[in-house]
Amino acid sequence: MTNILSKIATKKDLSLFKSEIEVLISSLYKYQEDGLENALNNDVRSWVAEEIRKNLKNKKEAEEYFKSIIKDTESIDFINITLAYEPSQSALGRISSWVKTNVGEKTLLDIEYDPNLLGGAKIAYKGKYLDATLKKQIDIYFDTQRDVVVGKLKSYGVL
Amino acid sequence: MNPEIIYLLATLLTALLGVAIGFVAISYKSLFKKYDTLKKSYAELEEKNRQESQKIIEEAEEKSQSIVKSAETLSQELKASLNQAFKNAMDLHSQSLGQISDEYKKSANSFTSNLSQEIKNSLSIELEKMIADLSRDLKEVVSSAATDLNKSYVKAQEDVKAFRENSYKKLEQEMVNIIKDTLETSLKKSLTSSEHEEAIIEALGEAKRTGLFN
Repeated sequence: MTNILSKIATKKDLSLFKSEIEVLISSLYKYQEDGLENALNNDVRSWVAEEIRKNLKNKKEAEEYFKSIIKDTESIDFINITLAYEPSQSALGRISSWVKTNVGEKTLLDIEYDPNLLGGAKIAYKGKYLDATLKKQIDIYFDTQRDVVVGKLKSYGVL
Repeated sequence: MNPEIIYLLATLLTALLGVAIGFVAISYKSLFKKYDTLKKSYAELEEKNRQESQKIIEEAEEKSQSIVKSAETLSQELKASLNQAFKNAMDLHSQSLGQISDEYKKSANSFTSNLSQEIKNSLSIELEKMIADLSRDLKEVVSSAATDLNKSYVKAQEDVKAFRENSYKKLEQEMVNIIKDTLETSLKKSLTSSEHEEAIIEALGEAKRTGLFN
């Protein structure tokens, strides 16, 4: 897998990245001097341009390099994860890092949001599913410990 | 043919036709006259019949009234003569009839006296039996009513108890729901970004431990 893909955390990010690579491939066929460089400067995010300049030693191999990136994206796995909040870039980086370390380098996050989950995450991966949200834990607690809660209310004279 | 001859023939035929029409008209007149005569005769005959019928009816009515009147007279005469005969007979035998009447009275009194005592006895027995039967029936009715009442009371008590327990459970559930909602609202507001982040990493860790990523 190309190093550049390890920088991508989410499915949404991957989609944007693929469109940027398509733009760069198109720039190779433009009749203007240094079309690729122009595209790197103007049409892609700075970190993408930086990674490509770092990895692409010979510009004559650019097309082959871009196609290999596109090919690598086809074998990526996704973890579908539903969160209660929208994480910051650093939080997203930490979560993505955990996933790449513990699940696989070629694994990205497909993120959805549902504030009613309160916290934690619902996770689905290759047909398997886990609800590890705070909402679920609270539901379980109030289902199994209902009598305890009622006992407390009685002890406080509420019931 | 000669026109004169034709003219003469035509004139002759016209004259013959006129004669024929005149004859027919006379015949018609005669027929109308006969019809009027017949019509008049029929009306007269009808009037005569009506008068005769009326006469017969009136005679019949008179006759019937006469019969009824004579029958009433006969009846009154017969009644009067019978009354007189009865009165005569009563006058002749009044004394012996009085004696018979006294004896009858005595025997009748004795009979009714005995009869009333028997009736009294019989009534007393019947009354006692009736009261006993009624008492037994009433006892059964009262007992059955008391049982039904008791059952209804027990059922009502059970219903009240069930209603109270059900209401109490609902109230408990409402209170638990309120606490749960309050906790959730509070958590939603109070969790920091780093706490969310930790919770997500924990969720992923749990997924790994349970083999979700295998």
